[in-house]
Amino acid sequence: MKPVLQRIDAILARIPADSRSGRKIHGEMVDHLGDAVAARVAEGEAYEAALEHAVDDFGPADELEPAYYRDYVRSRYLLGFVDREAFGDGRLLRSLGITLLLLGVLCYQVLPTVAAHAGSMALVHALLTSALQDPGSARGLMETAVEQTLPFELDPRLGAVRPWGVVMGVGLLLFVVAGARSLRRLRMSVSGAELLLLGLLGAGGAVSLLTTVDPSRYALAFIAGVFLPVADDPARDGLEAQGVFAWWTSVAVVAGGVWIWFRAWRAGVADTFLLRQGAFWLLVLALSIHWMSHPLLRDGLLRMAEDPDAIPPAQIHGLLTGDLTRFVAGSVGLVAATLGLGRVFAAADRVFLARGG
Amino acid sequence: MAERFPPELLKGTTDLVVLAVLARERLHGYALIQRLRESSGDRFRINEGSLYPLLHRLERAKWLRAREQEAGGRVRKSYETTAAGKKELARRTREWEAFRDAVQDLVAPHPDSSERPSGNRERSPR
Repeated sequence: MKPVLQRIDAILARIPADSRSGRKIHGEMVDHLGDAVAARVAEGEAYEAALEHAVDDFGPADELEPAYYRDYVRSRYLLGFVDREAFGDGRLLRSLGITLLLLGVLCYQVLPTVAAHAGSMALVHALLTSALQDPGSARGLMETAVEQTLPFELDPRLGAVRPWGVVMGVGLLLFVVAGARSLRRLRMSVSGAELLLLGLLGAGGAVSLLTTVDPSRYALAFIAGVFLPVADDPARDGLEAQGVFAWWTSVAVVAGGVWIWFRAWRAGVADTFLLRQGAFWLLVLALSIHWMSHPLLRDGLLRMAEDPDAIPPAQIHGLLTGDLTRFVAGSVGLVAATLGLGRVFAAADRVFLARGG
Repeated sequence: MAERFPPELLKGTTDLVVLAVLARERLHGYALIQRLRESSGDRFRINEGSLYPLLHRLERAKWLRAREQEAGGRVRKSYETTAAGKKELARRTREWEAFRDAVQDLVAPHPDSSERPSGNRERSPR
């Protein structure tokens, strides 16, 4: 026969202790055995024998293990698959936020960026090599390429990419709000007003991403600015204001992050490793947003607004490559920070449950 | 020690018995087991480990209500029968009485075989 503690362990083998339902089952079983052993010891039985008999009375592990697992699944999952706990404590909201954010990064950032920059670079290469010999042909080539290679800027089709930006913004907001709930469980004394402030920071980050980062727009506007200086360019409107907004949003997100961890430290939270991890990923998140909100092309456009010859065509390739690198690095950073913060929030949930929920 | 009831007899009645005991008083799991033993003269012994899935099932059905109380520095979960549980208890009690009478009719010795009992026979007062 297995040693008595292993028999107890065998009954609870499949019931995770980092879930609320699982912890209740663990707790009840331990309480029951504790009561049974205490009663037997009070009647004069030796402790080891009392424990052995209490587990005997509890029942055979091979029969109870599936029964307890079924009970756990029924307690935790609605219809066998909808996780009630995740819905109740914000984990579902956080997972939804992560999913939307990553989907938005892919569809609003990565794919249009790569398409727009690759198209722009091909166009610039063609213009700089052969077509420049004939300015008329270069202009025709530019107009055709703008229509065919860089469709996102054309108003009727711009709508196709914008919704993904909204998806990304909503995802970021949900992620931040649900994550703040997880941090709150680490017994940080966060007030309602402070949670609201966190929500506003998340919203600021979302709006910043949504309004200032549209890589295809900058790529096209920049090329058009260089080669078609007389063209009507709506993309230049408001660029400066967007830049200022993006800058302050980045500052606010970093400051908010520092403040959160400072508050946690002041509150005496012992999970310093968790806090360090969280601080690191928050910094990566802020840097990614900052990178993606400050394309080199926008600065180039602003300079060209003052002096049309500020950027010589030979530098175009460098700027496009630099921005492409920024956007890809920013996207990778955003994804890594999202997943990293998600893990920190999940660890915070586990700590919370381990402390008795 | 009195002879225990065989498990197959207990199987269909455990829900009824648990609802009945918890309708009278709020108890935690171990105390419930003790009460079942005491009240039945130690003849009603269920597998202790099986009790908790059963309690959780009755709780999900809203027939039991669980309350967490702090006792001796520990949080203990105790159960009591809800109003819906009491209605279910009344229904099951009627069902059980009908079943018991029918079994009684079938197994009781009858001096005259021409007066074999039927299910409609008037029940004896309890």
